[in-house]
Amino acid sequence: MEITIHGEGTIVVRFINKKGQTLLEERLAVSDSPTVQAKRIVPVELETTKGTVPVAPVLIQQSHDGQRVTFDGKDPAAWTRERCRKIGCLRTVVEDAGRGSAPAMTRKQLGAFLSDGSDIRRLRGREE
Amino acid sequence: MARGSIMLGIEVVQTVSSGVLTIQEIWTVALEPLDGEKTTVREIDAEKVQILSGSTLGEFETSSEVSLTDVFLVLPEDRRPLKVLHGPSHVSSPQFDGATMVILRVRDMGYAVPSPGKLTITRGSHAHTYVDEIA
Repeated sequence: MEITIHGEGTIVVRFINKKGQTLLEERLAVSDSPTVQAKRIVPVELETTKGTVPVAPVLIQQSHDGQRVTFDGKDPAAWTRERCRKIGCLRTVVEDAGRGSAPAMTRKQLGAFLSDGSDIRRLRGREE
Repeated sequence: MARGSIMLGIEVVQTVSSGVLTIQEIWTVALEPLDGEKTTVREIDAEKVQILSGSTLGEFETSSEVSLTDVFLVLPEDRRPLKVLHGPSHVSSPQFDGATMVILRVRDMGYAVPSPGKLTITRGSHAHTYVDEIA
């Protein structure tokens, strides 16, 4: 599946299984100008200890409204809802994912940690 | 009208949950239109940080320490191939006439451990290039 970003900024995408659990998180940032475009190929299946698991990418965050994001050329919310239904998500999971909501990984799920920039936001006095 | 000086940068950060046994390769591009004037690529560089471990450390003997970064200049005529510049590079390229787009590509390897196994990975790859376009 191809994610396209039109315009500079950062997006966060979480990949959930049919139970709504996040198995992979990706942050993609692109910088230069409003005319820059970025493309990223992402998986829709992951190999796990329980076998091959289909996942649905959920757009959790984008930098600003001027930045346009598409999943395979379509609106991310619509694409995510369709994918969630296809992999057998519960209705509540479909609705949450369609609203751009998916749980952050728990400490137990994380083997390691990279700063996501919250320290920088604190320095700017805009802790989120 | 020539675009002047441009910085183009992309970054990918991946965090994988425990229980996942594969992480696919990173393949990401950033594209910026140019105006078909005279283009010089001043710098191409990349950095990578990662924490990686597997159930059998020997499986990762070929783990890369850097990501692959290339810059492509798209030339409009069908018969002119893409101009490919490989990073890292900290000296200016020759000047190219007529480029209508610059593409920055970053790639990094995927990893897998056989089941049953354990894979722990968090990684971030960043690449940037500086491009000058003059009339």
